Amino acid sequence: MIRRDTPVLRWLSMATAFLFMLLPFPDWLSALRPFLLALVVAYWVLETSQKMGLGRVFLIGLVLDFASFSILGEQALRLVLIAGVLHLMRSQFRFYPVWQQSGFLMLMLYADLALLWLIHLSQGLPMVQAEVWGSPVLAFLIWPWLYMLLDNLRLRNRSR
Amino acid sequence: MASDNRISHRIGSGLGAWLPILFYAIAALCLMAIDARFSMSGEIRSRTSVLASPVWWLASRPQALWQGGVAALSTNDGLRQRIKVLEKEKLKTDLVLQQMLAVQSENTQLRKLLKGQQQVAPTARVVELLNINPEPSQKRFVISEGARQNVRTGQVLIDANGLVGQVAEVYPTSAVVIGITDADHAVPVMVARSGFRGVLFGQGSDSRLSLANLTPSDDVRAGDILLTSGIGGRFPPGIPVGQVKAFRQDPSLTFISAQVQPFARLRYGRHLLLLEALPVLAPAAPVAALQAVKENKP
Repeated sequence: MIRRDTPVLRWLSMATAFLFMLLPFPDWLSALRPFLLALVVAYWVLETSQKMGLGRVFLIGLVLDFASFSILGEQALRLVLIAGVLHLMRSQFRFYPVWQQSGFLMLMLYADLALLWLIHLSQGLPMVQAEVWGSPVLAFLIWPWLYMLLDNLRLRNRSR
Repeated sequence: MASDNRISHRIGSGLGAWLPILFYAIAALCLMAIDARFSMSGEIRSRTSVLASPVWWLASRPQALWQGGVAALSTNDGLRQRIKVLEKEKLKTDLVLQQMLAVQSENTQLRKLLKGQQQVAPTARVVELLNINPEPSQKRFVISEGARQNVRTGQVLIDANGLVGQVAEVYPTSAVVIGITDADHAVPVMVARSGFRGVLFGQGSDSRLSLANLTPSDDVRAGDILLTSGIGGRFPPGIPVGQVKAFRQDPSLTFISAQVQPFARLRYGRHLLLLEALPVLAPAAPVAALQAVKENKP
């Protein structure tokens, strides 16, 4: 079965997740903000891996670096590592039950936070707040719904 | 995990599959190192801001829409009540202002007598805040005016309650403001009650600033109000900054640091006041002032 490509949906969903990363939240909520862009990128890496090479992911990360005032390369590194691991595991990952995918992504986001913490430590930036460690749990809860939503949109698009 | 299930690996996904990841990870690390050392992101950002500005604008829309919606849905009754409250408040401020005017004219006369500096009241204009807050640890935000509207680096922003920050980077149609709460920011301040001067550092938290390196004999108490001292020439003197809340012993046990609650409500409201750049004043000549006093004596 050859799935038709849906570039509009892909870029639209990523743009939405991108804006979500910039939305103004109160302080405590802002720390809890899940890394939604990573989840959306993960979805497209899993479903259309040829169209989501690491080069593109790297560029998306750089753009996020620009827009969000983080040190240049920080978000790019985080996104590339997540997308890279998913690229390698793609063939197995897609056949996990969805809650297992969620769990795996959560673990990956924890590793990602540890990386962020290290980056902040090495650059002498202020430490990430304690609440940040709750954000992968939110990502864990969001992933099944996000997966279902994007899958639905994509399949509907295809049947037309 | 199924990572040991090697059957499902595609051909060529051995160690070589890690190479692109390694390549991009090293590229990112190099970028970070270069950026940290030479802080080039500001320069690149200022060139690409034409692209970033619409993104920032778009990201600030949901909140603007929400606030607009709240305004549109407020009832006639509610609005009337609000007007009443505001009118009462205006009366009160008018009263204070009248007294202020008298004090001000007296002050200028005294300064003339002393042949001291004339204090220039800074003029201000309202700028819109494009409310985005991507990194919780960084207290930077974007305003919707830039070089084309004559915004300059170093201009000071205040809100109705106190000092907010200063313009750090200027782009053609937007500018980045570094808040006083940012961990990279420091303001010269003085205690309104005793005149004690110090430097107030941001901590990366919205509700806490730190007045560091105090000794037990320094005249700072809990409840003291801090104003900008005007030293350094960047911030005009007399802008309220915050209130001393508590004291804490430094790890070295030599100094005490005071925790200060900022007055400005950085997370609320969509407009700020941008102070026009102050004219550079020559330092006052105390000797001349003294002579002036002697001459003016009958």
